[in-house]
Formats: sequence, C-alpha cells, structure tokens
Amino acid sequence: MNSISRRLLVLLLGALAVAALLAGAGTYMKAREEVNELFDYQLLQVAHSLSHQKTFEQRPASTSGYEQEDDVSVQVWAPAGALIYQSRVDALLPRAGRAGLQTVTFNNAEWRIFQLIDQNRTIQISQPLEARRELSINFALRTIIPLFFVFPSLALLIWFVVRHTLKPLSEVADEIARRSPASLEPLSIQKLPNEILPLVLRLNALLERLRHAFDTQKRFVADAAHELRTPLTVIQLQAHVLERSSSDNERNEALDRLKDGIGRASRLVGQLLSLARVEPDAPPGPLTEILLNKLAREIVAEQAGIAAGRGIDLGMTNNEPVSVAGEPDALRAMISNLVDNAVSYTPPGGTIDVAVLQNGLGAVIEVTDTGPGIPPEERERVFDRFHRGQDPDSAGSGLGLAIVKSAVERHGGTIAIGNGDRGKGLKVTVEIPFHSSH
Amino acid sequence: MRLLLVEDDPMLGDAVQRVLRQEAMTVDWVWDGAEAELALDAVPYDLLLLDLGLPGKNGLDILRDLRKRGVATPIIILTARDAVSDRIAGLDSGADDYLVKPFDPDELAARIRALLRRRDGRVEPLIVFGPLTLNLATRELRYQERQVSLSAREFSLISLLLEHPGATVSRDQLEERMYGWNEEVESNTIEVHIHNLRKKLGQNLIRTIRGVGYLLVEKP
Repeated sequence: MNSISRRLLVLLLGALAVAALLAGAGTYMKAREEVNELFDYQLLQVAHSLSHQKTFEQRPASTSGYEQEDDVSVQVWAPAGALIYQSRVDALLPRAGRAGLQTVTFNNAEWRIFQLIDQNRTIQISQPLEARRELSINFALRTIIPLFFVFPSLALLIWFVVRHTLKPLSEVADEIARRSPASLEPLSIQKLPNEILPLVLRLNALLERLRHAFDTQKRFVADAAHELRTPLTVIQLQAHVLERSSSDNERNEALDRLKDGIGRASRLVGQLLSLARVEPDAPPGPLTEILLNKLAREIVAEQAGIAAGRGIDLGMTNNEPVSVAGEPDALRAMISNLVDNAVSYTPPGGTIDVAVLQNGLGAVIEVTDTGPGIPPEERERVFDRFHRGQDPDSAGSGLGLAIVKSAVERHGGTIAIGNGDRGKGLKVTVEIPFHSSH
Repeated sequence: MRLLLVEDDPMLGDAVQRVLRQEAMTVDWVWDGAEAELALDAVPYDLLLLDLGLPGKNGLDILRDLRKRGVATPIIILTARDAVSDRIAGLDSGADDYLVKPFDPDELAARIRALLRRRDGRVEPLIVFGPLTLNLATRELRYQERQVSLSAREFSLISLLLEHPGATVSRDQLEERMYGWNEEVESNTIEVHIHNLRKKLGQNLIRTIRGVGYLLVEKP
C-alpha cells in the first residue's frame, strides 16, 4: 500500500477501532465491579428483609413475579434442615455450607449466593452470575456502539483532512508536471510545510545545476555556430572569387585561400569536438596508466615537420619515464594544444622546449618558447573560449588553451603561465597529480 | 567606387577584398577602429564595411562615434551576430545596412550598389548622360545604343566622371577612386585608361582640362 492517504486512513481507523474496543473492555470491567457491588448489596437487602418475616408459606411456584424477572432465587430452610420455601422451582440450589457471600457452581452455571442464618432458619438468596455479565456487556456495548456508528463519517473526515494536508505535495507535483525541459526555474517554496520543504529545496538545487549545464551547452553550441561563420564566409567568398577569376594566377591564389578557409573550418570543428570531450560536464572516461614522456615525444615528432618548415627548433629537453593515471585522449589533446600553440606563436628562428618531469606529487609538463609571450594582465583571459591573442596573423580557433585548461582540471591538475627562459617568451607549466580524482 | 573595409580577421578581410575587387570596387582594408578613423579622415570613401567583432574598440562604439563626428558615409555592418536585437542595435547605432555572415558575395555587392544609388538619389542603377548609359549593377556601358566593353579600371574611371556630369574631375580624385593603398599607381596610367576610353567612345566625349583634370561633355 503505497499511498500516504490510504495508509493514514487505515492506520487511523484501525487505531480508533482498537481504542473503541479498549474503551468497551474498560467499561465492561468497571461495570462488572459496580454491578457486583450493587447486586451483592441487593442480595443482602433481600435476605435481611426476609429475615423479619415470621413464616414462609410455600405458594405454588410461579414462573412469573419479580423474583423471576430478577433471576433471583430465594430458599428458606427450617432449623431442622427441611426446605420450607423456594421461589423458583428451576433453581433448587443445594444449601451452602456456610453463611455469607460466596460463589458456587450449580447446573454448569455460576451463582452468587448470600446465606443468612437467624432464629435457626437459613435464608439463602441466589442469583446466576450470568445476569451480571449480561448487564455489564450491555453497558460496554452502549459505550462502544455509538462509536461504530460515527466510523464512516469519521473515515470521510480523516480522508478529507489527509487530502488537505497533502495538498502542497500534489501542488508541487502539478508544478513539476507543467514544466517543459527548458523551464528550469526553481519551484516556489512559499507556504510549503516543513516536511516537504527539504525535498523541494533539493529539487531546486538539482534544477539549478541542470540549468547551468543546459546554459553551458547552449552557449557552447551558439559560440561554435558563431565561430564557424567566419571560416564559412571565407570559403563562400573565395569560391566566388575562384569562379570569376580571369587569370591562372588569380585562380590559383583563390584556390589556395579557399583551401586555407576549409582547413581553418576543419581545425575549428576538430577543436570544438576536442573541447566537448574534455568539458567538465562530459562523462569521465576510463583511467589508464600513461607514460607522459612517451606521449610528449610522439606529439613533438608529429609537429616537428610543421615547426621545421617555419624555421623553429622544436625538441624535448629530457626523457625520464613519468606516468600518471589519466584519460589518454584528454592528455593527448592537452600536450598537443600546448605544443601547437607554441609553434603558432613562435617566430622563425625561435626555439620550443618540451620537458616532462616529476615532483613528489605528480607529473610536470613544461612547454617553453621564444615567442612574444603573454602580458600578465592577459594571462587570465587566455583560457577563455575563443579568446585570440593580439597577433593578427594567427588563424587559430581560440580554443587551444581552453581545451588545455579543461583537460588539466579533469585530472585535478593546475596550469600556470609565466615568462620563458631569461624573461622572454612564454612558459606554460602543467602539473598533473599521479592519481587524479575525477 | 572606393570602400573602406574594417575587419580584424586576416582570411576574411582578404576574401572580402578580392570579391569586391572583382566587382571593380577599390577596397582599402584596416584592422581596427582607430585605423578606420584615420583612413576616413584621409580619403573620401564612398562606403564603409564594418565588422562588429573587432579587437579593442567595439564595432558599435566605432559606428556611434563616427556618426557623432558627422561622418555621413554609408555604412554596412558585417557580423556573425544574427539576433534581431543585434540587427536593431546595429541599425540604430547608425548603420545603413546589416549583413550576417556567411553572406552571398553577389548580395554584398548588390547592397553596396543599392546604398550608393540611394545616396546619389538615383532610383535605377543607371546613370544616363548624353549618349552614355552606365548600368552600375551589370557594369555595362552603352554608347549610342551600342554596348561598349570596359575593363575594371575603365569602369571606375567612367563611373566617377558620370557621377559628376558637367564638372571637372581631378586626376587625384580619379587616382583615389581607382587605386587602393597597396596598389602601385604608375605615373601615366590614368592617361592610358583615358586613351583607351576615347578609342571606344570617340575622341571628344572626355575633354582634358590641362592642369586640372577631365570633363565629360554631353555632345561631342
């Protein structure tokens, strides 16, 4: 039975029934006691009043009369022991062995007897106990029966009270039912009873978290669409130029620019996917033991060609094995973006050093370049999505460092931006604890 | 016609410049608001193309400041922001038109022509002067009902002369219209184009006013 209303109804009515029965039992006991006292006294009174009578004349035993009604049987024995009077032929109790009040069994029934001996006569008044029991039960029933009559109306009343009490709960349910997936405003907590308030407050906290996640996603999609517009415009315009170009030279140039635009759009899409995977809301992937120095070496090897083409000396400064437990894709995206950034911003003739070290707590990855660096006042903002440096020649997505930061935070690590060696260029230092706790 | 493009994205700026050059428009390209203000002071541009997402000073602020300074040059906003509220903000800040990226290059050119037509108080994209009819949209010139084919430079030259019928246009004005900043102007190139035009339109239609410039006359 999973309805609070029905449970309350049954429990309350059950308790009421038990209470009524207890009241009945109590009334019965009390009535028995009083009836006993009263009837014993009556037996005494009858016996004493009969003792003043000189003679007893045996009338034909009648089945009527007040004694009959009262079930009281009067017996009188002469001093010699002969029965000289009896009020009921159906109640020939034996003469009790002693005087006074007593209870005896006769004809399988219990009788209350009072025996009085005066002038050598024995007067014995008897009454079946059954009569007293019936009377007491009657008393008890008179107490209980009205209660059972009010039961249905009481049930109805309880039903209404319970429904009324639980109304805030159904109102909250209705309010939730009316919600669309987009309406994540907190539920109203006004006039809520203390019992429901914690539930609604926790629900509101959940809604708030949901809304935040929702907003983040929406903003991400909007930003992504917004950012894709520029390369798409470039593609559209250069395709148009290509179409209308009148010389081979013009055509080739337009084709090159068109390819640049397509490359930029693809890079942006790749970076967006990368960011979506390392976002705080993204589900955690399985942790794997990863050799960071090996990973860094692979990435340096991959980008060495581009770096060499731009006249940049890219290399690793050490090669000691350092491993952490982490998500392989996120860690790869992290190092790859750091190196890619350095390659993009370092002018020809520059140097980029990648180092993978360890301190007591975790792995340390350092990427140092001889590029323009980042002024201190800009160091906070470079992690923002779509933030691009002031260098106008870079056609980057503005997502690289945002991806790095998300990946670092996913592993419970830290990232710091500082000056490169001898105060020039840029040095990015990432620390990843050996056992991340995501 | 000569336009100023304010665009911070190198690839996009390059693309817009190429597209409009193919439309025989002269495009100067600057990166930000400060450069735009300097350029506007130096050159009488016919139209300004403004990207809103610029580094430093916000595009809308640049727009408002230009209008406050009394710059009446038609301005088209190029932006990735497509919300209605953004369009309204752009137009209310003083823009004459609003194009959302990605836009069709033909549409951009058509809107530029439409704005210039409106600025000159013309309803049709046609300039008629004596025996000459120039269609600014198709860049077709008809002389005595006969079609004359024009190079992009020749078109620039004749359209400027036609915009000032009966007035002398100086050599400087012509050079300004025909060449952007990065383009090298050869010393006698105006003369060469005038010479070519005269071959197509007869010797007497374009008169040389020695030491001053050139004048288009109605009857040769």
